[in-house]
Parts: sequence; C-alpha cells; structure tokens
Amino acid sequence: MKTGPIQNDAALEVKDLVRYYGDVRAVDHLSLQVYRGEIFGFLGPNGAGKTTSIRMMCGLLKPTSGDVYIHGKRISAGESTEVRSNVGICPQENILWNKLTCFEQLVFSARIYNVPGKIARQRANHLLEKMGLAIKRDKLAATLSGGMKRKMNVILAIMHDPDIMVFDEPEAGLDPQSRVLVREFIRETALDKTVIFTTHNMDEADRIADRVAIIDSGRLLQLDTPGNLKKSIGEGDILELKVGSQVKRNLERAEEALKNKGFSVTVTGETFSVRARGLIPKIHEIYQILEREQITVSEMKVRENTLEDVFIHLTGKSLRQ
Amino acid sequence: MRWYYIFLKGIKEQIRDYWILVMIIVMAPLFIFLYYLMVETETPNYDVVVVNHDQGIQYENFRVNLGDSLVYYAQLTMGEEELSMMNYMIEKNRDSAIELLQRQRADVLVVFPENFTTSILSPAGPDAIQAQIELVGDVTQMEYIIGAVWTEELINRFVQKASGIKLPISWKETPLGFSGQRSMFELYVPGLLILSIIMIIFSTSAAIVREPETRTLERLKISRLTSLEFLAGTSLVQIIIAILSLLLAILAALGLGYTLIPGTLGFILFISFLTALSMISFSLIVAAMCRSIKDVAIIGTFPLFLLMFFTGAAFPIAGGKLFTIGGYTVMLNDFLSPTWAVDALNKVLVQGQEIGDTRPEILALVVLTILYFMLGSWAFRRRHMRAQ
Repeated sequence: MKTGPIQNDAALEVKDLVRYYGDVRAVDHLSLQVYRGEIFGFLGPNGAGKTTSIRMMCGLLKPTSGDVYIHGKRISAGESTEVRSNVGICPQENILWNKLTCFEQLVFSARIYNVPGKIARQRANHLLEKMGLAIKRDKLAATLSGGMKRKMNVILAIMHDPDIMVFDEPEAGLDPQSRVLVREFIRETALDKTVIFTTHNMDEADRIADRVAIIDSGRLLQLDTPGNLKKSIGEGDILELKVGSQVKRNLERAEEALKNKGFSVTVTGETFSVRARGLIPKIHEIYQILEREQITVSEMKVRENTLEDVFIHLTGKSLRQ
Repeated sequence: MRWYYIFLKGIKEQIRDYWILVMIIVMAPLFIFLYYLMVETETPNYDVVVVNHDQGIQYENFRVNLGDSLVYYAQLTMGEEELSMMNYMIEKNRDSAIELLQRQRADVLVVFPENFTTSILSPAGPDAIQAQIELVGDVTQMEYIIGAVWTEELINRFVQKASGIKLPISWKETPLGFSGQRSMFELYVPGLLILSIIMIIFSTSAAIVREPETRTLERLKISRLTSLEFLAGTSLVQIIIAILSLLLAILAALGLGYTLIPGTLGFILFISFLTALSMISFSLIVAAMCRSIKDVAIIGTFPLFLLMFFTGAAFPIAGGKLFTIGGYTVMLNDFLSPTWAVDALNKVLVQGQEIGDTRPEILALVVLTILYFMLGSWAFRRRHMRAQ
C-alpha cells in the first residue's frame, strides 16, 4: 500500500536552477521539492524545459547555475556518486543496448549498480513478465517493436531498485493498451518510491500525479495537487460550446452578455467555455443568450475542470499549441 | 568487478557485431599473405646484363679477350654462396641491354670498353692505360645499388687475378643476426605482426564510441561505474582481439615459410601485449574526437595510416630527424609507440640480439603507452563522460 508523500522530507530538491543553451534560457530559476514517496508530475508543452530540468536533476546535464540535492546531499553533474545512483532514469528516447538480449541488458544494468546476480536475474524475469515481454526475454533489443522498446526503457530505469525514479514522457509512443499497462506499472512500482515524470498529457498527469508542476518556457507557473490546481481556476463545471465561424461582433456581444449574467467565460478559437456552479439547470439560459446574439452552436458538452484549463488559464494558450 | 560486466557485455556485442570483428582479425593474416606475394620470398636476386665491347689482343697464336674471361668468371662465381644472388647474362649491344633495364628484366648493365684487355695487361705505373667500365641502371633502386656494388667487387677480384696485382686489404662480410638467412618476406614479418595490433585502433574506438552514439553511455554515467572501470572492461575485450589477430598472423606467416626462432614466442606475445595496451590508449584519443562509428571510420583513418606507414610496421622507414640531444637523434616517429615495438622485434627476430637488449625499446613503449593513456582518458572523459 502506498504510504503517500512525506511532506517536509524532500527526496529531491532543486534550488534556483538555471540552464542556458546559447542565448536561450531553457530553465529559468526553477526551485521545488519532491517529497519522499510522492508521484510528482512535470506538465508542460514540448520545449517547456521539462526534459532539461530532469536531466539536471539526474546529473546528466550541468546547470548554468543553481543546485540539486538528493536526500539532502548536493550532487555534481558528471560525477559518479553513491547518492546519484539512488536515481533511476527512463529517458524520452529508447536507450537500449541493441546487441544484448532483453534479459542480458536488464541483468547488466542491475549488476553495474552492484545488485547481486541472483537478485538481478530474478528481478529481470519478474519485470519482463509484468510488462508482457517474457516471450522476448532472449531476443536482441534491436529486434523489438517500438512499443516493446519503450517498455524495456521503462523497466531498465528500475532494475537497480532506486529510491527515486524519473520517467521522461513514459507513455509517449505507446498504444492505448500499453499506455494503461505502463501507467499501472509506474503506480505499482511507486508504492514505496519517489516518482518524477514529465508529460505534456494532462490526463496522464491528472491520473497519476500526487502533485503537478506546470512549467512553460522554463518557468514554474504553479505547483500543487491536481485537485487544487483545478480548483484554483474556479469552482463548478464547464459548458463547452463549439460555435464555428461566426460574425465577430456577435461573438463579442454574446461573451459580454454571458459575463453580465455572472458566468465565467473563456473564448479559445471557435470554442466558448462557460463556467458555473450547478451548471446543468443554467444551460437553457446560456443557450437563449447565444440564440439572441445569432450564434449557432454546432456541438455542446459539459465537463469538469482539467489541467488543460489550468494551463490555458495560466498561459493563455493550449498545451497542444 | 563492475569492469567484468563491461567486459562480458563487450564480448557479446563484439561477437554479435561480427563484421568488424572478422575484418580486424582477418586483416593481419591478409597483410602477411599480400606481403608474401609482393616481396621475393627466396633469397633476393640481382640481374646484371653484360655488354662486352672488349677487342682483346693477339698474343702469339692466341686471341686474348679478358672481357669474355670476366663474363665466364662471373658465371662461375654464381655458384659460390657469397655471390649466389648475382645473375649475369650477356647482351650483344648497349641499346638492347638498356631496353632490358627499362623493361625491368635486369637491374644493372655493365659495359666493358674496347681497351679492357689492353689496360689490364699493360704495365702498371703512372702512365698505365685506364679502361673505363660503364655501369648503367636506375640509381634510385635498391636492386641497382646492391647489384652494382657486387659487380664492382667481382670485377676488382678478376682484375687482381688477371693482372697479378695484390691489394693490401681484403673484405669480409658478416651478416648481422639472422639477416643473412632470412628471405625478404621474413624480414618484413616482425613489422607485420605489430601491424596486426595497430589494426585494433578501429575496433577499440568503435567499441568506445558506440556507447555515446547510442546514448547508452548515459545509463552508465548515472550508474556506479567509473570511467576507469568502463575503459578497463572495454580494453580487455580488445586485448583478446589483438592477441587473436596476432596468433592468426603468426600462423599465416609460419604457413608461408616463416621460421620462428625457438624461445621467442613469449617475447613476441609480451611486446604485442604492450603494443595492444598502447594502441587501446591511442584509441581513447581517437574516440575522444569522434561522436559516431562513422566518425571513427573517417577520423580514425589518419592515425591508422600514420601508425602503419610511419613506424616501420609496413616497411622500414628512417622516421624524420627532429633534433639531437645528448648524442641521441630524436626522430619524429620515436613518438609513435609501434616504432619501438617493431625495433624490439627486429632486434631479436632479425638481428639475433638477446631479449635483454630490448630494454630501451620496452621502456620507451611503456612510457609512450602511459602518456597516450593519460592524454586519451583525459580527452575521453572531457568529451564523453562529463555532463554537458
């Protein structure tokens, strides 16, 4: 059973982390704590600085300035230390030894962390079974499909049973079935571990993470539990109305009219998002206002707040943009 | 023991990546075979064509022509051990003889003048008639130089006998070590054995660069593995490949008629082991300059050719004089460790010196290996192991 995050007991802490690539500031004064035992999500669009941040946290990338602490001990990039070997990383790209079989590379990656041979072999067999790769145990990694390589990439990160596991876009490139399998796998293996993962998928972050850091252009925009983040942009449900191409003046008048009636309105492209508590009985009223302003609705749906809404609220743009 | 897991991984990868392995191992025996075909495998021969314009003299009822006698004398001496490599043949005129030289059917042309007999039989003294014997050939060719020297020696001997003149000096030649008993092919073999070790530059650099190229080095970097353990495990695989390649090269040489001096196999293996360490260290420098195996194939070619052709491994070379210090002339190729390995093997296998006499070469080999390793591991760590 998962114990949950132990607050004030930071497994990993970054202080004022900055990283430049030439003139581009990829990470901009990032400071945060990841608590022992929590699942911590980095949510942000592509190029937001998520991967750069976690590569610095693992010591694979040297920060321009700032510090990283693992279990309270400062780590230096490029140095092989016992502290740093408490981290297991699943990179965004599949990094495998193509000329080794699945079993061989799992055992090898455990042995270089001093895991005893018997335990390494048992763990390799167990993880292959769990990920549905047992049938490929003795096949060279080069012969695996993209999805299988992704799963191998995930289990290679945890073969040495690290305290902190870092997954960079773990579900990328997986079919829906494998996505669920990997998600469950991370959740199970994280029972007594600290998990950090990056994603640009709001559902993934919402479903797995105890806390989510929303990051854009290298800056930390907000950090909280998914529930609190969603609450932070307003209570209630959202009515999403697809209005298609309309006369701009009509749209502006409709937005104004809805706001006058006390609704919270966001217009993104051709979509009106109207937020309100106890929304369902108010749909008729909203619809009447739109009709009065000669707005034709092509699609309508009611949903709860998502992290996507939080991101739009914070940046004014969609995660997918 | 973590180096041992790198070693096991390296062995598996090398066997499964068998094209590079086969290429490296087969290259040395192939070179041995090519050299066997390229150089003369028997004792070398020098073809001398003789044009005799000697008019001779009439003495009572006899016609005396010492030019003809010299040709006959030369052909007789071809049976002697000392001059067995000389081959004399007669040509009627100078032009047809020149044509033989141009077609490389002969190495030296010697032309006896009309007054050859007259000059030999004339009384000695300040006013004696002097016949001018002409030597013709490509003066840049070693075959010409050796053929001409021995022809001069033969003519001098004949003239002394025919004229009754006795020089106050005589010559004796003693071949150094086994050089007199070795064919040209056998003289090349020590260098070619070192060449087989030099070839591992490719497989070593490729084995090291494969990790950063596929980014698997990132997994190793965050593990407890140290750079030294990584390099030790990788190097051991390459040492095994080098020794395997060397043994195949020795077997190929033996199969083609090379005679191994009893008691020298251990010495060859020892020198080869040191050279392998040296070449692995050198490969670190190459690997530090490369990001991919393709880079190794392009960038690695330059040092490979330098080490092959500028160290005496492929053929004997002077090495380019740099400066003299304390009476010792420092050559440019003294900074390339295979130079010392080739010298050490030549000392024992060709010149017949004692193994103990190769201490300076072994010392130089060890010092250069340490320097290469220090430079290579620093450059490799800086390029590939440290966080960017």
